[in-house]
Amino acid sequence: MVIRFKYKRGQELKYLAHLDMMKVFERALKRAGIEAAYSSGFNKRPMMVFGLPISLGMISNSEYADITLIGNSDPKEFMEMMNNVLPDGVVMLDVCALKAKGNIMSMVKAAEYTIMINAGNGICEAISAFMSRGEAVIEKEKKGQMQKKDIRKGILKAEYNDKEIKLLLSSGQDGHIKPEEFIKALYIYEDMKLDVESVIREEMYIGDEGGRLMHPFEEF
Amino acid sequence: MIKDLDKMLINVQKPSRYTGAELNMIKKDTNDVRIRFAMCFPDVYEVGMSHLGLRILYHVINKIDWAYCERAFMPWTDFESELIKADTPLFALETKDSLGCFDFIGFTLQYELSYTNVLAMLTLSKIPIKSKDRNDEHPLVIAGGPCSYNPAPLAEFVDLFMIGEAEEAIIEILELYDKHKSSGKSRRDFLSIVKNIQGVYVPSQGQATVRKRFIKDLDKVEYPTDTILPYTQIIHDRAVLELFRGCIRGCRFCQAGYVYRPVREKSVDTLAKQAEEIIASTGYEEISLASLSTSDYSDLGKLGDKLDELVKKKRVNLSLPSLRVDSFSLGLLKRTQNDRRSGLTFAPEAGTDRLRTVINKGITETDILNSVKLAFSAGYRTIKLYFMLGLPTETIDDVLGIAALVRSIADEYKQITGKINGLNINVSTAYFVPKAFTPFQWEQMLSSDEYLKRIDLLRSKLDRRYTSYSWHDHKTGLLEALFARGGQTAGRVLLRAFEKGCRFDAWKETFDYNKWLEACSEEGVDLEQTATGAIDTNTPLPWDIIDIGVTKAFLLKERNKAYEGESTVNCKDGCASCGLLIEKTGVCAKW
Repeated sequence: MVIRFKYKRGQELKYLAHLDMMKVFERALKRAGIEAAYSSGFNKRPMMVFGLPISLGMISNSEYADITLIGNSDPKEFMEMMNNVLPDGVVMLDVCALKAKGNIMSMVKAAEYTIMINAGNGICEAISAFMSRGEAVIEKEKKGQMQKKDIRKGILKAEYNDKEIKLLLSSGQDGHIKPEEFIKALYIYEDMKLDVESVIREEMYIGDEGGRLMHPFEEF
Repeated sequence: MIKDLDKMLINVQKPSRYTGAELNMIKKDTNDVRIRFAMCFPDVYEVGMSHLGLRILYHVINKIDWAYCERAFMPWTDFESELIKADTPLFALETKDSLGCFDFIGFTLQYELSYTNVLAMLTLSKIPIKSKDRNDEHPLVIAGGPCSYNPAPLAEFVDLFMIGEAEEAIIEILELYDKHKSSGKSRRDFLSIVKNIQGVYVPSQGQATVRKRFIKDLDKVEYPTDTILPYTQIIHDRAVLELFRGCIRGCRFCQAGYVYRPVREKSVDTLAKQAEEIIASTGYEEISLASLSTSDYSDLGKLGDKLDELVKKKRVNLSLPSLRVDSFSLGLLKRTQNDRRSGLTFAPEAGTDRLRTVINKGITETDILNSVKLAFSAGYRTIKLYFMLGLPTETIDDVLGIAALVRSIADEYKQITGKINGLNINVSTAYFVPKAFTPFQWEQMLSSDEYLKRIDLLRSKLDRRYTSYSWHDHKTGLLEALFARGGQTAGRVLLRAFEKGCRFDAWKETFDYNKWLEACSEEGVDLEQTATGAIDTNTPLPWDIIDIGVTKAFLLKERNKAYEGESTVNCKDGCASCGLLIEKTGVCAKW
């Protein structure tokens, strides 16, 4: 069966790379005595897919992953067993069984972030000005070459309130905007250099065929 | 806690080296403990956390409720700069408290080329690097591990050395210190009494002799089954099951083969229990059956049977370090599910049967060829072969013998598979360095010019279609030799090299040979001559103060046998009277 779970990535684990995070779960499964399905072939890995990659140093209140288990188990029980053995800094928050096969990585369309700011004036105005632009092209290095990328339309929402910027960014395989790119564009286009304390990923959304954003558990 | 640690970490490679908080890390309230111990490994986290000794002592000390053992590693150069820039002293991973506030700073000395990092870690902790400059406000600096069998080069920097296996002695040291601390006496007083604990060497105390410590019964000693699980990939990222200590073989170049005598095995039951516990507490997918020569374990078959359930039900792979070719068997191999692509590793050490007898390796070309035949039949295509160049009595014929052996192995492959395609033989040669407490401790080392010539010769004789060849650097080889047999002069060179900025000398990207040469010349040391020169057998040795239980007379006898091309019986087949029989322990008990 396939289980989709939501987990928190805390301070203790924020410097972990993607593959290391995979190992954290793989070894927790072994400690919990839960049998995951493994990929066949030379490098056997548990069949597990993460929603979105995450930057080194970022904490998150809502990461998602789909895992294939051998046999059936109660999702809530699975979550409890895993939480008993997971290390500090990673907690499973919610879980559900998938009816269809599903692959969270291909479904994620947007992600919400909070940028915590130390201090600054005129941020509100700068964001309004930025959001009223038709385009915002930044340069991005890809495979050693500089590429131009218009990120404006991918910034679905940006609001400033009391030292926090709430961002909703287009994410996933059809166009992925990182919070760092927003920060960079705000500096290029509005001359606003943010004094960033930290960036937190708050939530992820999947999309239906009509492009409506939904919670990753919604259709199940 | 460290102010702005995140701001520093965002600028460095692999920040999870410095964050701690791994699964199974020990947490204690520092107000509840009386003694704080910082276990330091003078290399990066991934190397240090791969070291079993550190994990064992961490576990042993933390079993004491009034003591707290934490860990510290040498920060990579980028983080070292960040610490200096922020004027932040080096800290322990558990509490992030700076090392200066600990009672003990303990270093494990695994290789000579980590010595500059020892000095760097003290300096980063704002602790004076020379023992004589430290006072009651500073931690005591203790060191152990294989390199401390020749403590002389570090004698000025270390307050006390722990010679031998430390599981029992470290507790005695801490108990004594605990009493001492509450009575309010000075560090000098402590050093004057701690030397009475067997295995403790205090350079400032003028001891006559120090007998090493070892654990008599490995079934009864603590073993870290609830060991820390690093988040980030370390060098040996697997559970380690230690099968036995010591080695029955007595290869004449190998320091470990002498200093860890007598050979003591753990029972199959103990091992099976520990294997199960370690997988349950870590979730590791692989367990390594570790020792100096794993295929020499008495009950390997029975152990394999016992571990079968773990292997099958928990999907745990067994892995083996390098194999001895004589006792290599296919059955063992099938159990291990060793990855065929990474191949099998053998260490013939020398190219001819003659030279292998000189070093008492005790395996013949026939043994080697039989083993590779088995491996090729089982589907292996990659073979790794380790050799040394510059062994005593080595001639050009022995060097050519390596190439001839490789050709014979390729012929076996051709016979079995009918082709040469797909075969990979990775040949690696190390520069022979004479080590303290071996029969070769007095030997002349091959000059670096001649070493390089022999590498060129060997390279020209290897068939590139199926061989890839790598060799150890001669520069680091000379430095390793300088410290392996050096005295206090080597320590002065070390200090100068450190002051010139030498760090991570075992790492290609940071090793700076010119600085070392400058340091040598400022101390009036001719590196090549000092490192490679033969020592007269009547000359007192810097490590004579240490007694490993193996007598000097035995080592001399072994040296003479080497020259006469005579082999020595292994400890299971007979007793060669090395001097440890009187302990009546482990494998010696039957003689």
